[in-house]
Amino acid sequence: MKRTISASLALLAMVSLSSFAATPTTVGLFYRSASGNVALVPNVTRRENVLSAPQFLQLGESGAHQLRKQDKYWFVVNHRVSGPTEISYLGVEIIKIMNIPLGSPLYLIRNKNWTRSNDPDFDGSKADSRTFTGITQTDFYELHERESQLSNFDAALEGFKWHARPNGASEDSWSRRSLWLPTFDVLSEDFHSRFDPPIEQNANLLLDARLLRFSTTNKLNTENPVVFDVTGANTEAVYIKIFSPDAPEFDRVYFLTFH
Amino acid sequence: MPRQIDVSSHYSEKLVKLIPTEIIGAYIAIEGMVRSNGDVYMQVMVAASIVLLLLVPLYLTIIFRVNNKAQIVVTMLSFLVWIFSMGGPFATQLWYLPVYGSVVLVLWTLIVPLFNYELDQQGD
Repeated sequence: MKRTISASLALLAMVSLSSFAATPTTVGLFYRSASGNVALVPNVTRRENVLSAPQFLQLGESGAHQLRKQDKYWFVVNHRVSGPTEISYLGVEIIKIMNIPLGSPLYLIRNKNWTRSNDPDFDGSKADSRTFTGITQTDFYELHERESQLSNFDAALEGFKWHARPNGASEDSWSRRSLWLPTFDVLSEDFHSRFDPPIEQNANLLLDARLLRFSTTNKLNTENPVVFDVTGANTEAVYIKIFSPDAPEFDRVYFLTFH
Repeated sequence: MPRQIDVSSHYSEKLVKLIPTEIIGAYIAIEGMVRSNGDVYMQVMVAASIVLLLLVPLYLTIIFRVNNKAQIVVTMLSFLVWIFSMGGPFATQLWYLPVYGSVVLVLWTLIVPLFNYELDQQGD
C-alpha cells in the first residue's frame, strides 16, 4: 500500500508542475483524428448522450489536465482505424485520490461480451462489476505478479471472475496479466520529495480497474463507441492509464486534477 | 421599417441583412444556455432551430412588412445556412466537419445575390 500511496502522491506533484489544455473539437473531427485518441465530453451525465454532445475536449497523448469539477466525467476513445478491424480490449486503470475515508479500495468492472474457454459456468454476456472491501490495490497488483493459475486468482477475488477473453478475440486478458503490474514506481523517486506530508497522511486511494472489450472500426459510425466514465464526487485527483494488449497507439496516461 | 434587399451591399453583408437580428439573437442566447447541458443539447437546438426558422417569415411579413415571397424563402434558407456554418445541432453529427459550414456559407453568399438580381429585375 505504501508504494502505491507514495507513487500516487507523486503524480499529484506532477500535476501541479504542468497542466495542458484540452483541444475543443467536435465528434466528427474527433473520429477523424488518430486512433486511440481520448476526448473528455463535458457537461454530459448520461452515456447515451455522449456522442450527441456539442463539444469534445480532445486530450493529448498523455499528460496532466486540470478540469472543471463535475459529478461525472465521460471519456471517449477513438477506436477508428484505417486498416482491418479486430476485436480486442482496453485495460483502464483508474486511481482516484479521494478526500473521504474509503471502505472499498478496489472496484473491478468488465463490460459485456466476454467468455472463458474452459469454464461453462462463466457468463460474460452482460457487464459485471464487484466492489472489494478486504482487498487493497496492493493485493490486486501482487496477485497479478504472484499467481500463475487463473483459478487461484478468482479465489483470491472472492470468486469474482474478472479476467476473461473478449468474444471473438484469440487471447485472454489473463495471459497478459503483466500489464496490470503497478507502474507508479517509475515516478515515485523523482517526485516523492515534493509532497506535503499532510496530504500523504490523508490520502484515500480507490483503484477502479476495467476490462473493456471493443471492436475497432474502419467506418465512420457510432454503433459501438468506446466510452468510460469517472465519477468526480469527493475526488481530488485521478490517474488514468489506458492500454491495449495489441495496439500501442491506444496507450495513454493521464493525470487529472479538478478545480 | 422595410427590409428589402439592397443589391449594392456586399455579398456577405446581404446574408446577415436578410436574417432578422432578433432571430439570430434568440438563437445565440438559446445556444449559450443549452451548451452547458450536453444531455439535451441536440434535442433543444433542433427544436429551437425549427421554431426560429418558422418565426422568420412571421417576422419578415408582420414586423418588417416584407411581402416578397422569394425573399422570405431566401431568408429562411439563409438562416439554415447560417446555423450550418455555426455548427449548432449539425456539429453533433459524425459526418459534419466545420469546413463544410465554411464552404456552404461562402457558396451561399455567392448564390444569394443571384436571387437578389432576379428580385431586382422583377421589381423593375
